Amino acid sequence: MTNTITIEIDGQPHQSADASLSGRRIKELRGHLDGRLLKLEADDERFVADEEVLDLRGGEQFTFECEVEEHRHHRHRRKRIVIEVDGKPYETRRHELTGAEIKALAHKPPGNVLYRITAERQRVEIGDTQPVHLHDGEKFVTTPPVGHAS
Amino acid sequence: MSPEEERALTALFGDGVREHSEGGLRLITLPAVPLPVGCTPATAFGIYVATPYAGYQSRLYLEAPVRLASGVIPPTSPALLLGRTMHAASIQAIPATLPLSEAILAHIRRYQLAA
Repeated sequence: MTNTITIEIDGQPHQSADASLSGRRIKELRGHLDGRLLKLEADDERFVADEEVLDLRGGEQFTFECEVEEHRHHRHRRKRIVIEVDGKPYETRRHELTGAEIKALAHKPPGNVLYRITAERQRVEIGDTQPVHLHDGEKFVTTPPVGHAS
Repeated sequence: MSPEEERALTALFGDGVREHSEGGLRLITLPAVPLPVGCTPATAFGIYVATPYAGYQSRLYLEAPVRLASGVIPPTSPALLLGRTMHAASIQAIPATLPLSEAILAHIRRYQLAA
């Protein structure tokens, strides 16, 4: 039985039966080979060469930088958004991160509990595998799992 | 407190978070502490003691004892802080060395876990 993985290219899901894909193969999944492939990381992005082979786990996000007429560069990049974790700003181009990824972005210990703060100042606990659609300026706080009643 | 701590505390507890010093204690006033769902009151004025005090590593005092969602009111001990009588449940092992927002949230989380 073959396990397929799903990756996101320009916001669209694409499936592959092979978890090791070259940059060129990822472009082929998208349907054409134009442009330079960009892999979006939690807090950064990097170019992927056509011959570079990536070992994928699923959930990775890609986009493209395309050269267009008049030699101008048009980037199909996602807008950079800034979220705040424990009062500090962090940038990401990914508009959806899991709780674990938000903690990793903010260099918080994986065991910390993560909360999103709503506009009404309510705290909503976010699980490690729970996806969160991020908005610019959104605030999160964390706390370590310490303390006990006595 | 650092600018980051102040931003996090303001996001959590509203404008007017202030740091005070009284009797050798580092005190942080919290205008409105939202308590876990089902607790009464739902929101309370709070003072966080960011100094080892009364046998505890840190303490979170609230303006009134809290009734949990289960109906139980955990025992509290009173203290006169900044001219107000405040009440703290017995919560151990939250180091005062933690960043302020993390420590205060750890105290509040105990009310959620006990509810």
